[in-house]
Amino acid sequence: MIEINIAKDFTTEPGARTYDDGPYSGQEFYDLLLEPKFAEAIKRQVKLKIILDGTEGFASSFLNEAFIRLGDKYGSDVVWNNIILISEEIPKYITKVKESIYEKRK
Amino acid sequence: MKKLTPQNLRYQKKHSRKEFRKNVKRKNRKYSGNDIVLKNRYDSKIGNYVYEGPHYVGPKRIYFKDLIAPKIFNLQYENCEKVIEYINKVKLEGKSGHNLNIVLEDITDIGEGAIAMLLSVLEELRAEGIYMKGAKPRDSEAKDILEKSGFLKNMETQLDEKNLNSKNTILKTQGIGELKVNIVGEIRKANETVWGETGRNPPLRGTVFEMMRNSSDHAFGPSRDLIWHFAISHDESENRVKFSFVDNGKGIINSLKTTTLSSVLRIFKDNADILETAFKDGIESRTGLRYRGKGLPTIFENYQERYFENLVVISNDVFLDFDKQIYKTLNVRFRGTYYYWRMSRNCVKACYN
Repeated sequence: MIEINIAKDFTTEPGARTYDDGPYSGQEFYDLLLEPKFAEAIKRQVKLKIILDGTEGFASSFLNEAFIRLGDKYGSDVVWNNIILISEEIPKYITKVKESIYEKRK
Repeated sequence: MKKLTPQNLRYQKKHSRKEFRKNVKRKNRKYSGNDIVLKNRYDSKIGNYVYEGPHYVGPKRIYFKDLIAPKIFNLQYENCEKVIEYINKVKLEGKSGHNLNIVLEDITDIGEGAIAMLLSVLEELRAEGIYMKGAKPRDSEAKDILEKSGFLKNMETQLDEKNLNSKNTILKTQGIGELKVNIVGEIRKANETVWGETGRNPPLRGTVFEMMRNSSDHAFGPSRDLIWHFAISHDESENRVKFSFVDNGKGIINSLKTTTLSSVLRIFKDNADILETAFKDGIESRTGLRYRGKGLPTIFENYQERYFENLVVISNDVFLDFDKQIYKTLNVRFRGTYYYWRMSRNCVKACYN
């Protein structure tokens, strides 16, 4: 299994949607960590574990941007079936991620 | 001798030597502890702020227009129209190039939200080179709230000793990156006041971030033109913290109206109906149009889940108070968006190490 701990591997203070919104955006997270690690997980046929706990808190746009991009690139079902989300502090973040994976960009 | 008419008497009084001396004395009166004078003034020629303290004698006499604030200076529904009207007047006079005397002396009841809203406008005018001065409320309770609020941090004035070490603050920002560094520390302090322990509060931090993000969406130009003020007011005896967030953007209603077809918006009863629906994530179901803005529904969701309480929103001509279920269109318009909310022990605890 491959693991991403957002608080440890990326930042404890995630930003907003895109690079234009400032540092540590959802787009930056996707480019630097989420997409490469997911590609690696698919290649190695293992699941990608993503730990959402430990940050100061997410804006909906951060999660939406990162996971909508992943869903768009690999397909919603492929993504959903190959990730394990851990969010014990705020469980609803898991629902937000799932909604984003299945959301289609206009 | 010819008898003087009342007009002659008035003329004589106005132009008498005694009156002249009195006027000179009044205009040159010394700076007192109750006065507020902006410390810095933006000089467009050198492109920076310059110090001009209370005793500064400029190259020419500066005239100030008196603007007297309403006695009840808070943003509760029954008082907010007068306060917004006053703030709009301050903005209008400042934009017309008048230097302003912000007279707060008569205020007997003041709210932190109204202070933040006023500060947001004053900062905008200061950046345009308007001189401002003022006087604090005579009422001791109102004066204490103003002194503790952080409003006077950028101004030349004297604070009562008891109000010097307040945890309250007003963060001023321009740009998401700048604010996010400061808010984390303030949110941890808020947790300490409410729960007695410092720690992360992800839903609260997420809420403030949604407000910032939403402001950028509704900005009138590049995001660097946007000014946010985030005010935090601690009540340690009640384990309660009050928050206000104000931006000087276009406002949510103005922004929605420029991006949405008027035929679609016609299905709503009024502007209050539009904004209430946007918060409750009902735009898509009411209009059939896909609505991707998740910021406002996320703020409302965190409120509904009771991570905080008493959510109030003023944007353009709409006033929403979700606790009291007041959803009204106002007779005055505020250019920008204002949020107020509170965290207390009645809320769901989110405090993580």
